[in-house]
Amino acid sequence: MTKARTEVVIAGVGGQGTVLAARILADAAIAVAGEDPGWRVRVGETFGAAMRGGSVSSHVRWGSVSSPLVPRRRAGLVIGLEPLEGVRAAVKYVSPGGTVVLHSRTLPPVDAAIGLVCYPPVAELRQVVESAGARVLVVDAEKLAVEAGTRRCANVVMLGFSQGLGVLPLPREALVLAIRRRVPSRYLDVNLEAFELGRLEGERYR
Amino acid sequence: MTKLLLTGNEAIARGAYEAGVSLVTGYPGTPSTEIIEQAASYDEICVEWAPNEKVALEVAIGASLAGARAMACMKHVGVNVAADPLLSGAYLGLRGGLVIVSADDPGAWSSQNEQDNRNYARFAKIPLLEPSDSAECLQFTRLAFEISEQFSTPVLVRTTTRISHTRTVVTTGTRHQPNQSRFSLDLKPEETVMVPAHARRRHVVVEERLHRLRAYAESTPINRIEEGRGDTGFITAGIAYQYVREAFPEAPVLKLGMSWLLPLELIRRFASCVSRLVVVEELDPFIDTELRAAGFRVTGKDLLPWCGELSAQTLRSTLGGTVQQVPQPVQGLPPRPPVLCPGCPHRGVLYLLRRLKATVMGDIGCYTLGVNPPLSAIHSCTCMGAGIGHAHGMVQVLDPQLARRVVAVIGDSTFLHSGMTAVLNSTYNQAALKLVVLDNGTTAMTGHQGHPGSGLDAKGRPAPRVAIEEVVSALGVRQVVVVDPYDLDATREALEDMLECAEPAVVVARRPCVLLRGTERRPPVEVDHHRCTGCRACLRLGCPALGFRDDVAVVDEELCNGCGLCVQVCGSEAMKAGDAQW
Repeated sequence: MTKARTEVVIAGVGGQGTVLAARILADAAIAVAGEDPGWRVRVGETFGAAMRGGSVSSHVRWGSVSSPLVPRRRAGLVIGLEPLEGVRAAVKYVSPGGTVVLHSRTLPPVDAAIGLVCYPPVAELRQVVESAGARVLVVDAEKLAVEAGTRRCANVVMLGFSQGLGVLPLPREALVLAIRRRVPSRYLDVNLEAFELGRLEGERYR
Repeated sequence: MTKLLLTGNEAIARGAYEAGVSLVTGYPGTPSTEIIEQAASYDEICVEWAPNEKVALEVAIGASLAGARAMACMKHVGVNVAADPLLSGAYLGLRGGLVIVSADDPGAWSSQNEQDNRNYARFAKIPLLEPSDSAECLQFTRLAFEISEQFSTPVLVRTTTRISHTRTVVTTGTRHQPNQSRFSLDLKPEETVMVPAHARRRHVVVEERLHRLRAYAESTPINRIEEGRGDTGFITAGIAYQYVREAFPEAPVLKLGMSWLLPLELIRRFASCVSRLVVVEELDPFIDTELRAAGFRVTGKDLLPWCGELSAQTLRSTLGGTVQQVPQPVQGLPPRPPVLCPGCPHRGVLYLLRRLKATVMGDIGCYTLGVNPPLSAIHSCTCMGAGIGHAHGMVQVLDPQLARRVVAVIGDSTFLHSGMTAVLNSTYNQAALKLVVLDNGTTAMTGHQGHPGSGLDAKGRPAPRVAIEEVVSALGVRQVVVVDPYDLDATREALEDMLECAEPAVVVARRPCVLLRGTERRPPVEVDHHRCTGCRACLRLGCPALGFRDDVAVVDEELCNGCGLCVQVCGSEAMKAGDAQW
């Protein structure tokens, strides 16, 4: 029985594709597990009001796990599809020594857009997480996504980046297979390219 | 047999399908909605959105009386609406298996309260199954139909948000075909007509059924002891089981799949093997109270929280074990509450009601988000359909000057769910009710489910579309106007006329939800930064596509759907529709 656990939190804003990213990870994790009965996969998702442009996060856990939620400060990896949301999740969930990868494109909440509150500079956000003992990498996933074909696949760029960085204990082939399974065929090539571009970028930071 | 990664909701739909269900119905509500959506993908099943949960359960009971297996699905507060047929339906001599799914929402992630619907099982005197992952959602739903037919009882399957929306691995099976030869009209009036003489006798049957169900609970394999090490034994069910397993992986556990009625003999056997008995459950002390009443010495709600969700960490910190010190999350990050979408057709009406200083009795739907600044336009939200009755009550007691400021606001789906009878109340009792129906043609908040005014059924096929203005006219309202809420001048005029009216008056603000497939989206608005005076009038719309930088308004082209409200509120002609000329 596998005692190891992998804990990942993917955070973003409603509509950015956190749910799809989580399902791709989970599919890959199942493929890696094979028939090991002690290996369980859990994907905890938030729906409902979060759909209307609110904060969204998905928890993906595999190995000897039971609860659908990642415990506080146990995530080895936090993926932020938006910097503020990534940091909001990271201060709660990233483990000491864990990794936080942030997509650099900011989406200010309405209150910040109209000047009621201030959207902190990304450098400042980064420092908040680093002081908690985690490693932070900021990626311009939108640029790579556009290069692949559409800015909408930044979520898959971030998965590729995390894999290339070596912080996801899942082989590239398993993730590619999961993308093939989850992404509708007309967007498949763009997403596979997005994954590859992200992966190559991640390898540069290894 | 296929292995799939399914949510609890998808697994419940699959379980009903495999059990040979003939009819599945319900009303959308987070976290239950996807059960019906998934069920709709199975061609063999009749799947419907009902206008409300009471109708849904009555329909399901009808199918059961005809001999078919039927399921009604709803969120926890939906069971309140369906409580009448639930409690009396429990007396009926059912024929086909009848399952009611209640998806509860501890933590109130998308609900107006945290009620614990396990209490309904005790109240209605029916068995309760609580799955703890998606595999059990499938298995228990199948089993629920068997129990229902074996004991001629409705069965309540209760999930919580973390069960409904968590994906775990499920092994699917094949569909058990419904036995159509059992479908008939062989009704026994003494079992199906609840006149007092029959009801008194049926009550006796219900109590006897409880005795037999208690015996069943003692022997069913879904109540099981998991042996372990240590002096403390845990009794738990549903999602709480997963938290117990994670916090105390070695401990002995009595896992209840059927948590009403309780298997007291099995619990006694388990209790004799441990020195300390701990009941772990979210929300109410349901198992806890029952065990204390039966004379058990238990620890439970004296230590564990009564409100919100549990977690493995809460269990460790309250019940012992390795406590990990967790620093408090950093404060001061700007929050990101859900907001009305850019181009939302509700925005203009809420903006105007605020400008007209109306006191707004709101309801359940996207428009409730108008409570937040800068719109700050909603002043009550209680339950489905409540706003109209609230407004009526206010109008009847306030002096006319104050009463004329009271407006009820309700969405199309909510109006058809439970708003209609409240309008009837106002026309009959002659109160000057002011009502705006925000008609975006769909059940938007839960993700665009069909309803009788949407023109689509649960399977996405065309359906007859009821016109809300015709319904309110038929209910006796003589002053009815339909407006396009993107046209602020026309909408303001309609609202002002409504406020001045001395009899019930209704404005139907009609424009499809901007996220609905096929809805027209216009090119983004453009700002002339030289003309913008920085007055911030447009920011009072609370649109996520509008911002303010370097003392002028800015439009996020990616987010803007071109509704043009900001163009209309701008006093310096600094904004123009994307397809217009300066």
